[in-house]
Amino acid sequence: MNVEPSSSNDRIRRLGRLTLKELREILRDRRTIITLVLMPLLMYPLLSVAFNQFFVSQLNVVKTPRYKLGFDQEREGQYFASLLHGAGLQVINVGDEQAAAELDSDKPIVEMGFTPQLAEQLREYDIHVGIRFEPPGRAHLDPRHDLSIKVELLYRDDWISSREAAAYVEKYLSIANERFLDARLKVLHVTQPAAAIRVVRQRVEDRGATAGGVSITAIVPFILILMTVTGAVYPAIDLTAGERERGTLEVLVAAPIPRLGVLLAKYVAVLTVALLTAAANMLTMTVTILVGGFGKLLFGEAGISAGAIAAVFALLLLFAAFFSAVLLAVTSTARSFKEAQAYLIPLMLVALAPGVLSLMPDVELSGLLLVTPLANIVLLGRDLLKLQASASATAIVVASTLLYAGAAIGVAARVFGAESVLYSSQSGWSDLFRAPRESQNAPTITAATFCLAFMLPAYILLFNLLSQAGSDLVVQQISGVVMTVAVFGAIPLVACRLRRVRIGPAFHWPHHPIAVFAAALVLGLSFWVISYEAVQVIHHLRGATFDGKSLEALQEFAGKLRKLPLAFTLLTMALVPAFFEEWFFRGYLFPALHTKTTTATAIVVSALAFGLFHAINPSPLAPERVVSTTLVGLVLGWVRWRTGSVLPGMVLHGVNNALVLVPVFYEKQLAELGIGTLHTEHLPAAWIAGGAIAVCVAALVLFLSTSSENHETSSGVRG
Amino acid sequence: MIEVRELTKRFPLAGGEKLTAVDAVSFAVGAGDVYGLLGANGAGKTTTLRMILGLLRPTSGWATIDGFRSDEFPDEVKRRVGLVAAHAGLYQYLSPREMLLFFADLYGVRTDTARAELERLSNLLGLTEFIDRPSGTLSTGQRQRVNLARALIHRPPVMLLDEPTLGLDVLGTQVITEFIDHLREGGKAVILCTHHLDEAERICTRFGLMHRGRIVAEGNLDQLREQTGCTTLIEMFLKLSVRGPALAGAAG
Repeated sequence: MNVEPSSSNDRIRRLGRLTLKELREILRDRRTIITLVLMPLLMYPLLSVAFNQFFVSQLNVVKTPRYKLGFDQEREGQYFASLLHGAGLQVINVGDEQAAAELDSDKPIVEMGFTPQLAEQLREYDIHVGIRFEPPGRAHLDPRHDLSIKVELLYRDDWISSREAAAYVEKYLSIANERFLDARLKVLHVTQPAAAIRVVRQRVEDRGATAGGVSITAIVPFILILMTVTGAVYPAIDLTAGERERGTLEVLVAAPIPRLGVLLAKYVAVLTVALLTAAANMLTMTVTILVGGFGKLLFGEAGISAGAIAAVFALLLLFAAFFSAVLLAVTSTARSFKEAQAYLIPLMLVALAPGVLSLMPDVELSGLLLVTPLANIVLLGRDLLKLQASASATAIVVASTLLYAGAAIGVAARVFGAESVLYSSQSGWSDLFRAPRESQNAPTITAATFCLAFMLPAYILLFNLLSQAGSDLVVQQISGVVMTVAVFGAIPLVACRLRRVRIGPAFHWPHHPIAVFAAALVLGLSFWVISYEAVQVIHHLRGATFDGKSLEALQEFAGKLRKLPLAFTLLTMALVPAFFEEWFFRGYLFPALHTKTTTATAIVVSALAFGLFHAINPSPLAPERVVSTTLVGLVLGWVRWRTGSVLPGMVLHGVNNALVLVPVFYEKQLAELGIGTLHTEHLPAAWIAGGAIAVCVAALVLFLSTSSENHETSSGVRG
Repeated sequence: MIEVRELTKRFPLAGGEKLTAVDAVSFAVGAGDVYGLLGANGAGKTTTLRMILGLLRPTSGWATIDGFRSDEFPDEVKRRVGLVAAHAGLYQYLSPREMLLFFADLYGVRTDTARAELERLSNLLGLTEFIDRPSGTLSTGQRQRVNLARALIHRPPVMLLDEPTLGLDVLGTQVITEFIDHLREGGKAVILCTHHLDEAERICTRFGLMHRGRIVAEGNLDQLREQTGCTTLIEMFLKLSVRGPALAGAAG
């Protein structure tokens, strides 16, 4: 039998064919088609009806009412019509549609008719309000003469429209009274206006349309996400638990293909169906919004735009990537369709709870919500639709969701087809969580993704707690140290212990220590010039300005800092972060990435993660901060690779951090030398040139001081 | 072709205890042999097959196919084995043709070779009349024939058949039994787990009688008769349930 040799291209092609088979299987199932096509086709028109009923009516944007007003005498009727018209009421004769068409459609219109049986007409719902004069026939509108008329307003208390019409007419009668009194006082040469206090109502527009205490703009992404989930649930169950129930899973894992390959094919299939569902839902929802005219109501004056739709679809893609992995991880553990459904119900409830909370009108996409799954997507979707999404919030939501997706795929890969899951009647669940028998030189990418997925929310949570630690700088700095140690030290350490990862190789003492450490020191002393200039370039490109308030806050902070001992500040703000950040980003994450990716990828990805964590701090300079820290991260990654140790990087990092702080303590002395500590402009050319030369020389020394086998073996990841 | 040595599997139970499902099982199966692995439900036959194929990791001992250990080179082992599992199902929305070509692809068989093999198996197992129908509409017998074809599509030298006639009527059983005979003639090494002892007696060249995870009697029919003092497999089977440990002592 001819067996094809397996190259990477073959594997990719096979993955494609596997995915096609899964899609063929799932798309031929009528249940998928129902979720995919029929559900959105039926749901959105129904939702639009419900929307009209429950939300639009509450927003008072339904068709303006028409009230029918009855008079028992025509002469009085005509008199009143002119009186009310003068007060601003829109009055027409019954059935005069031509006159109605010329009026303001946003204000109620009153139709006027004449009938001697007002009470009878009201009982028959023919008129909303009847007007009767007492005594009849004495109505003259002349400010030169006194006027006193008693008018009876007949209405029905058990008919809402009748009560509203009576109140409406009464309001305009009051205005008419005021107007007449004004005219009469003028005739009598009195300057006092009839209404001493004039009240003008002014409606203030809300930031987002709300109804019933719910942000209706957030409802749109929420519904789309719900429908995307609905689309993904069935294929996820069918392709895992369903396959096991049908008895096809065992023969599938008996084939000589990697379990991860089979799982990825299933993942892509579930993701595709989820996206098809999302696309079908977006299409029908957009059509419903356009046809129903809800665009302005939901998204403000600009209405719904193609750009917003594309952005929300990208968001749905991101969410589907995450949730499909979660679904597969959960359903892979189930032995039957029914069991999978039982697992998914609590998952859905837990997952949707933050999503529901995010519908509250005043919820902002910040803090822990940035990294709360589903809630962050719903809120970002809302902000994208309202064209209010910020770049840094978007970056954090995207990065955290991708991290969660990676972690979920890692779980799914571990669970899917595992002995303990495949034959759970014979094997225990503890197999899944058992640590490897032998200690490892480096963590796996899955373990590192998991670790990051824990660290990101922990970091944000602790950061928020830290911001509430009070204004005492010493307390703040000690809290910062605790946070750094907990997030960058303790979490990776626990992860290492759980997966039996040796931490020794990361702290390996490199060969040629003096030259290497000297080079790292010089790099730390000089690289800030490069990162500073890069920040300035980005700053100018963005057109961002360092506003006075930020500058003032910085100066205030610098002032407080100067009151503390320099050594304490250096320890808490430079050395401790340098040690623990290097321990995680270059000691833990870098080798994890390096086990499966190229050196360049490992350096770039660890540097981007380093940059991302430094951008979580909400600041107008967040994009610049990402750039500068990512650049430093690239250098630190390279140093880690060349030396096979985190120690030189710690020196570089510590010096780099210290150089931000030390000038604050010597501001006066530096100012005497003509150097400001809060620069907002480019450095002198000589500084840039000197810094660049120092960086190049230090890098060259470090390169030459580290042998080729040093970074291959001592990094502990390639052997 | 197949060699099993001291193969043992213990499953952890709640409370820290362990269940020994397979206990130091050893046997060998050569090309052209049909080895009947027989025993009551729960004797450890299926677990043994799963370890041979590399689906379960042995607690101790090993199994090899063509010299490849299943715990070290599972893919090499899987490439050489065709498995018909006891409760194997079909993809109900795929036709047998689509499913067989899909599995041929999983085993790395070239498309043209796979199509030719599909035609051959289709004629051999009588799949032609329903080859393009959705598998969900097939009868139990038709499904089992498709399953057999699925296990053979990559022309493996080793076949592991776990209850291949489960749920089949007399005619269906006859078709499968004849086909196993055909496999033997074709030089394949076959392990057959079955409860149809009369059929096993007819087509198997060697037997291993399992009881509570251990092989208590092993050899060809004459050797088994000598070891157990019984004439038929049914008698041996019944005796096993009463005197399993004693037989185990005799075999050891």
